[in-house]
Amino acid sequence: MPQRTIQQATVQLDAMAEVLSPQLLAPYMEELEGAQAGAQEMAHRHQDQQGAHAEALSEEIQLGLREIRERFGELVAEGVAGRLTSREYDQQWSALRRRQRELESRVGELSGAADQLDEIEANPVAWADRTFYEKFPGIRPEFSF
Amino acid sequence: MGTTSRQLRRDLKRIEALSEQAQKAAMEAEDTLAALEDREARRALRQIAFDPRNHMTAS
Repeated sequence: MPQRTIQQATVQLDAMAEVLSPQLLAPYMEELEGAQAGAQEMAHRHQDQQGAHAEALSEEIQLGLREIRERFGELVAEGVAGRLTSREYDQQWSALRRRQRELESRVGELSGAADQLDEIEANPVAWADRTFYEKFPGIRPEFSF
Repeated sequence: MGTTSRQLRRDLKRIEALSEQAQKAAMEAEDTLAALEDREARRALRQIAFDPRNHMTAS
């Protein structure tokens, strides 16, 4: 049985609709709807995984930046009180800056995840078709037409 | 249902604000470092100024 992307199957079925009656077309429509449901489920699974990963990353970044903001304040207090040498202060300041940059460098990943979720939410079937079936012919659904 | 893109974009705005706050705190802390270094330098100079060995003249 031929393996097709959802897009290819839809085009094929549209062509068949011009010559077949609705009754004869019905089983093929059911096949296509089944394949669309499968694609949608795949998209939603990916959406859940991506969403969970992004949520965890977002929490890590937010918590990290809050802690850094507070720690800089504590550092200033310690410095003003004379509890640290300038060298100790500098070391702690530099460590906090490194951590801040590390967290901020991951914001791009979060933004990319938001873009991807946008695409999936807009049209999960089309997204799954583009992302999986177009790129990996071996996993395309099989159709009897 | 997991996180949506809308929730993530709200988070991104929150992160942007937190990042600005952290940056401001870093700059204030850097100013304090400069003041600390300045204080240590002046202390070191005072110690040099008051060290009797620096006031010995050839007799």
